[in-house]
Amino acid sequence: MKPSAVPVTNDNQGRPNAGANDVTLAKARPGQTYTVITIAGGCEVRHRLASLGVVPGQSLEIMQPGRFGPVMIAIKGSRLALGHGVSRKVILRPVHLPKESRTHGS
Amino acid sequence: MEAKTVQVAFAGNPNSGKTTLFNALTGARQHVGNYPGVTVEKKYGTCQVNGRKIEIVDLPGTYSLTAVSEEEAVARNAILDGQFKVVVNIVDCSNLERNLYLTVQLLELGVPVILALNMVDIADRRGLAVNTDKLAALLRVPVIPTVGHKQIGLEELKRAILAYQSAGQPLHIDYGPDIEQAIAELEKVLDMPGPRRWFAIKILENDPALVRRLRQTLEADHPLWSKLDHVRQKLIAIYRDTPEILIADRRYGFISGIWQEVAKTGVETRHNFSDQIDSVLIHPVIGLPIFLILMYLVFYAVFTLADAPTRWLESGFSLLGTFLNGFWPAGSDSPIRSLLVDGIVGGVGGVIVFLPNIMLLFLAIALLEDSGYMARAAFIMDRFMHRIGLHGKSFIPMLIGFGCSVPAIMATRILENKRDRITTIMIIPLMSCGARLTIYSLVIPAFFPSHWQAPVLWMIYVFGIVLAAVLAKVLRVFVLKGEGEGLVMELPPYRMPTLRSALIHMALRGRMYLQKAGTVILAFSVILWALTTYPRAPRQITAKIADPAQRKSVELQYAAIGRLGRAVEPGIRPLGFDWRIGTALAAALPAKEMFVAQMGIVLSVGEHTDHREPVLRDQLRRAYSPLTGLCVLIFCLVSAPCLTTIAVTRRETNSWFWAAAQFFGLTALGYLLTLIVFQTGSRFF
Repeated sequence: MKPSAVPVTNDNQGRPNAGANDVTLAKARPGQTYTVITIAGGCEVRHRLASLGVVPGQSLEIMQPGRFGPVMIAIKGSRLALGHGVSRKVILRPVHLPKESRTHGS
Repeated sequence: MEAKTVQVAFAGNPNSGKTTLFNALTGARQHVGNYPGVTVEKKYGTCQVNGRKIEIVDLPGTYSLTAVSEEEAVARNAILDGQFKVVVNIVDCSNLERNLYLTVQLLELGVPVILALNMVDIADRRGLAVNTDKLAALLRVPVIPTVGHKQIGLEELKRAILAYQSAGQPLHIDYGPDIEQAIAELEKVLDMPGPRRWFAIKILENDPALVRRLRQTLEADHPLWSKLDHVRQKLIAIYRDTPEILIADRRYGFISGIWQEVAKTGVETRHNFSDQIDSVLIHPVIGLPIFLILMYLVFYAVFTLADAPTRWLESGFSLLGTFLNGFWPAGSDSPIRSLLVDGIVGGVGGVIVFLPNIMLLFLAIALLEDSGYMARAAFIMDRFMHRIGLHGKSFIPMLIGFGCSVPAIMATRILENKRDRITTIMIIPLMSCGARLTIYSLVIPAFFPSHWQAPVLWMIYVFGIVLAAVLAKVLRVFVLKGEGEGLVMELPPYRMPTLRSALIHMALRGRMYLQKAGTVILAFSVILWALTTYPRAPRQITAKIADPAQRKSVELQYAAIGRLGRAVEPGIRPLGFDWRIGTALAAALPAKEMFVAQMGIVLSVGEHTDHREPVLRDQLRRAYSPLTGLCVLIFCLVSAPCLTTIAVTRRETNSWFWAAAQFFGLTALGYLLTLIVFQTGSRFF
């Protein structure tokens, strides 16, 4: 049995407008909160990330952006470092917290 | 009747304070062994309670019972074996939700578990209260609050271990109708002993180690495979995600439910202070310079502090040699005297004098690790390591390699990916280890004016690092192809390291080093002594030579090692080396530090004068050119890692191929580089 193909496009199903603002973790902005949509990687990376709390639906915050190098995130009460290669496989969607909707009016 | 010794295992996340608690319970009564068949270090220790002995095995830290790396497989297999009365699961109370992920899996497996709710003080200080009674009731396990470094809760934990009766039913998490159906279908085709539901879940999760093992034991047309493929595809079709993610998600959901019941706080404050430090220490611009300065300070401190104790040891061994010499009349050529003084005291003593260096380096490494900075170093270096085809975590073993290649190669077990691991193992000998420093500190002052000594030493270290980077890249491009796994690592909050833990770590490493000196080095010292002494020159020849130094030289040419040196001389002549350096290089095979001792012998320096080193340097300066000195440095850095390193590489890679490739590959590389340097250099100087 081969590891099953990973359905990267699950976020495009049945949700209006979904995926328009999605970014990879490598391109995520510091200070912003995101929700994990999917992990487009092999079985081992998915296991490793899952055991550290990186699962779809989980929200995370970017502590140190990793446009070129590793990225540091805050998730489930801990801080994780993900290398550039791994962070390009984690697909995120920005969450607009009430705090940020404040700037909306200006 | 109950057995007098109770066997328990410590399991938990890395950074959960597991090792601190283990140290607090067992103190110095610790041993390091190896798990049979694999190379992961097995740490175990004992403690006493009510006249009963508790033997604790400190399992490698894991985040989950899914085995991806070798360490995780070891931890899981030890738990699955069922040899332990209880598995004490240490969880970091201030990061409970994530830590419970492992706990829940242990409970699903149905093994007897005691939960040690560690670091309750930190959680408490941050306004987090966990209702332990409720947690115990919900999970149906004993829960003991502990604070490892303050010795809180230790007695309660020991008593709970003794009082533990038996595990209840395995925890049954409801994974929802679709997944439950898949589990049930897999259970039907599984005909193996043990916790069947658990195996079914793990297979459904596509657990790498388990699937690999089943592939070896079950035939390819076993109904399990088609069934597994079927149920996985079905789940993917329904949920558009793989079962491992779905199952992890449900587990976190279950934990989240427990968390809401037992915890009183919503404010997350664990990292405030830590985040502030990180905004400086891993800053994209200033993080790297801070790291380099810190490393420089660490090495400077280690070598400065080790200076005095090293000299005490040196004079101690020198006194011991003189003392032993006193039992024989002056000028005696008794073989026993020679074996004791020249062979054993000279050889083993020459190695033991580096004990302070090694111990302090490991103390520094333990402090860096315990404080949480080591993970940041890996983070900072990740960008660079990525360029050479490795990732940041490989940097930690490389750093340890400056102390000694042997523990460094063992430390590569933190790397999950086999290709990363082998690449790192292959380049570790290029990190100038403590033993090579002895060669540098003999040779550099002999040939270079004082204001050049520090830069030359610095350059030889950097040369090793650059060469390691090039070699890693070459290996990744041509031999160990394929994409690396990439860095995935927790950055634990900064903590004040406890001196006690660091000292225990240092003592353990020191003891292992002494063991090596007492066994391997002792054996090689005796062999080397025999090769240097026998066969003896005929008396009628030596009797004619009045000068003792010259006589010694003639004797040496008769001895096996002299003949060996002469035999290899044509081969090393193009590098600028003569037969005497040849014998020293041969002597350095078992341990690099032997080079210095052997140069002393071949250059006929009296072994037990107080001014041995300066005299030896004078002799070197007279006998060789600075270019040869430089070539010795380069050759000793690159070529032939010591035999202990090769043995560890063989064990860690489980392959003679890599051990042989490391030995011959690096020797060939060292030869080539030295050849280029000498041949180019001798054109100009």
